[in-house]
Amino acid sequence: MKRVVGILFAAAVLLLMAPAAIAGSTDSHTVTVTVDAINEVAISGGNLTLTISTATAGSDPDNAADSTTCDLAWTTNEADKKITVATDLVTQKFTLKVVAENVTGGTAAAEVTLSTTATNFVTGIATTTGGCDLAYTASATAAQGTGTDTHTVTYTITNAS
Amino acid sequence: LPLVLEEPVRRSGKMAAIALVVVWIASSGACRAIDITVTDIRPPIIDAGDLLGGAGTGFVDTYESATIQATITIRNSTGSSDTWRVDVMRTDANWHSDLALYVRRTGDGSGSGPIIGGAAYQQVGPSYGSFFSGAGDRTDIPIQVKLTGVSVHTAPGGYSTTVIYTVVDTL
Repeated sequence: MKRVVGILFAAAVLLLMAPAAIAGSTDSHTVTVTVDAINEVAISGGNLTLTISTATAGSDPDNAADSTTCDLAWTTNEADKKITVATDLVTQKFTLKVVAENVTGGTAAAEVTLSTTATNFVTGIATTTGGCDLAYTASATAAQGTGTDTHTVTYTITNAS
Repeated sequence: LPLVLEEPVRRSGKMAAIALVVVWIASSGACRAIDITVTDIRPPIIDAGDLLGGAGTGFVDTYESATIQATITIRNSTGSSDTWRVDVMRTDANWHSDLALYVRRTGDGSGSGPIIGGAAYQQVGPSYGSFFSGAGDRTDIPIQVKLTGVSVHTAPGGYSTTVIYTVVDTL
């Protein structure tokens, strides 16, 4: 009996001395962060006009080129992406080419002769920010005469494979 | 002879009864343990609108919730002198290792006792850290949440962690 009484007293003392351990109450909430797939591409510099206006006698007109007016920038949080380029002008009188220069966050593809078919412009893009200069070159032959081609050039970030 | 045997038995019985009462009183104190409840939290969604300056730029460094993103309520104290402490920790489900979560108390809520600490952001880690302390019942203590570490290297998807708040009676 004495042992039982002793145990009961000990239990009582423990309960009285350790309320902090007993009195703990817990509640929780879940924090979920959702990150959407982000693939953004933007042109800066506005519209560009290239005028072919000079020539050396005996040769076709000189090319008109610009690599300082327009830039391209991109951000993606996905892997295995690329940027393609295309024009909306189906029937072209003259030739317009573009290449990415001073590229960060990707690898420049070879110079593209613009057509309505999307063609690789920058490849090797993955979870990065990046940018490049847009270097355009317009050319015409003497036989093509005069005129104006107006292109709407579209850059698209898309899956590489 | 029977009288000689009966007296110790009665005495032991009384002592046992007293001990049981003491245990019951102590136990009933535990049953009145301080309780904590916390409201749900609205999850942030990070999209292209969170880029610092559009294409070519990274994400904003810090995402901060509304100042009252959730509220904590402390109940069942024994009175305004019954002191307590709130500890906080997180257990990850599929949390991204680059993400850091912070909480802070943006108000006092309502109650008669004092409330101290927790006004500055503190990172919620995988083990308990002291958040704030006080005394007595207190309702609707507002909590704000901050998230850092999102970058273009954070793959699209959902990242979850459970933030656990525990109130400890400090007497």
